[in-house]
Amino acid sequence: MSKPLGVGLLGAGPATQSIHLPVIASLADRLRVVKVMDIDAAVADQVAARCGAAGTTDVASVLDDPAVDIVVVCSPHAYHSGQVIAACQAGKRAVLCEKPLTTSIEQASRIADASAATGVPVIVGTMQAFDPAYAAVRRHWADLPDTVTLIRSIIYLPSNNLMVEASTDPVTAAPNPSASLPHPPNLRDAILGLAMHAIPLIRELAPDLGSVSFARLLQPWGYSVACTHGDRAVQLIGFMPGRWAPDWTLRAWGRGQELRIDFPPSYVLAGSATASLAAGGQHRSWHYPHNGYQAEWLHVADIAEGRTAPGDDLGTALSDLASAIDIADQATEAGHQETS
Amino acid sequence: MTLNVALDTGDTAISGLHRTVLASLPARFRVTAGPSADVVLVSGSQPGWQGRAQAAAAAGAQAIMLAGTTALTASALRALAKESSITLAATPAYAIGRAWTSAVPLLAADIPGSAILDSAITVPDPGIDEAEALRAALTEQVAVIRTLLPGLEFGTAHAADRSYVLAGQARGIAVTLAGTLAESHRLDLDLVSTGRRWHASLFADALAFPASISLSDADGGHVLAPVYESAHRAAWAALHDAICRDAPLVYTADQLADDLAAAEAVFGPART
Repeated sequence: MSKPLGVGLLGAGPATQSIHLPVIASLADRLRVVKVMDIDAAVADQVAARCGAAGTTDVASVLDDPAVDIVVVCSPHAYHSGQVIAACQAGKRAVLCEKPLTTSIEQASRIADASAATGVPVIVGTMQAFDPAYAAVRRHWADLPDTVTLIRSIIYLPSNNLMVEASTDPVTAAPNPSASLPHPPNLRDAILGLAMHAIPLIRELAPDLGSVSFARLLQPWGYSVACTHGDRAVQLIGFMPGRWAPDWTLRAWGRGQELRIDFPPSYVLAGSATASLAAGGQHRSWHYPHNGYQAEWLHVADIAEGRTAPGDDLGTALSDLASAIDIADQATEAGHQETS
Repeated sequence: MTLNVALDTGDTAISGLHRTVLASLPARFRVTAGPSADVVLVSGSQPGWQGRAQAAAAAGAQAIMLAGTTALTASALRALAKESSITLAATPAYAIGRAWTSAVPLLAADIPGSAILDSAITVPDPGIDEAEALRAALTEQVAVIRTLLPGLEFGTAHAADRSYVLAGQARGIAVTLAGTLAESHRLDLDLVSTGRRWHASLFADALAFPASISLSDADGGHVLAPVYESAHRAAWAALHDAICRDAPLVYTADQLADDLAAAEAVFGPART
């Protein structure tokens, strides 16, 4: 049996603590955490100690460590491109970057160039795209993409803190009095932060989302957006934080087919989505005990070990990012028109 | 008091549906094939509905029940209502079902502070005249939404052969309405604030499949008791009360005309 792949994490916030560490623990025969980096030394050390790794505040310490085979970028969005590029240049076996890969097309292009130049595969952590139930229903929906007329991505979520606290004992950084106040909610951040999850799935059904015909910012945080392309419409609604149960669905209707996927919320290992497909009077559904995060990590490990070719993962991710940025920019413009 | 009802022999589908509904109200209605009837069912899905309604009034009917909307136009319906001296009622598929009407005050109380009112409706694909089917679907959907936000106006975000998305805003709530042709016949609705999230699923595939109306909040989920009664039965019961007890109708021809006008603004009026 080969030695588990070494993982280095850049950023030790909620995604690292509540998503990646439990999933990596569940795949201990394939993966082990070697280094945990965070700008807060105490957070880095505490989180690293929990998984038998070394903590550091130095990105280079992770990238230069030969025991680190896979770099995971879980830092704030603004750092993604620089860290992904640096990991590629360090010659790692794979890079897993939390979504969104970047927030600009220019940065995304530089990542693509770095990945191509170094041969280091870059995978974007859009976990629903790896969900086993989604993968299963996709194999059975036949000509749905050719006939789909309406797609609805509806995401109602409680506070992320509820999920984080249910999946780890969170280590948080000490308050920084000099830190700037959070930005007021805006459509661009909301779309790139949450609707981005749905884009890879929608793209399989509707390669071109078309133009934004309606957009509204929801308070305290969320969006309601409609996109149209020819005779097809895509609705994107996201809203949080609520003091109610999560409800995360993707639905699509085509000639003679109805698709519904109910996803579990982020952060938790609550099994796969439940996907159902009604066609010709018959109804089929799929559900599995493992979820998209676990499938995502298996995919990353397979790529790092050379068991699976990366294919055009990054090209697809860049295309999805470009779609999301386009929708976000259009929505921002449309939203201004709505309220002006 | 048992009222005689004459069905619309020109529309076997609608007559068949309402024959079954009326059979569930045997103390209040009896279907008759005779020339005189207290109530005449007029299909709004067949051309010539105005003539049949006028003939029913001339023959001495006390009331007309309009069922189906694909051949109706708002202007013709308003004209009929204006000139008619008898009761004109209509039977929407969802808006006056008892499960929904009993939930409306609960949802309406949560309108202040809500951020989203979102609804999607699907109707069976007729194979032809998709626009008629979507216009009828939107009419049904507007009837439901206006029980919560009376007079709400919409802008069109998307209208095509097989789907639509509309958007509006009222009392600080972003309202979206979507519809498409599908296999199922149902309407879903969410009313969402940070503290409370209502979800309603109303069904029309089976005559009396109960609506599912639930509230999710910090305490968990609360599901309203099911009511195994269709909106059509509720409409007939209300018409009986209107005739025999002088009770107000729960859904009038004028309301239907208003809802139809909203749908016509998107899909145009029915061809006459």
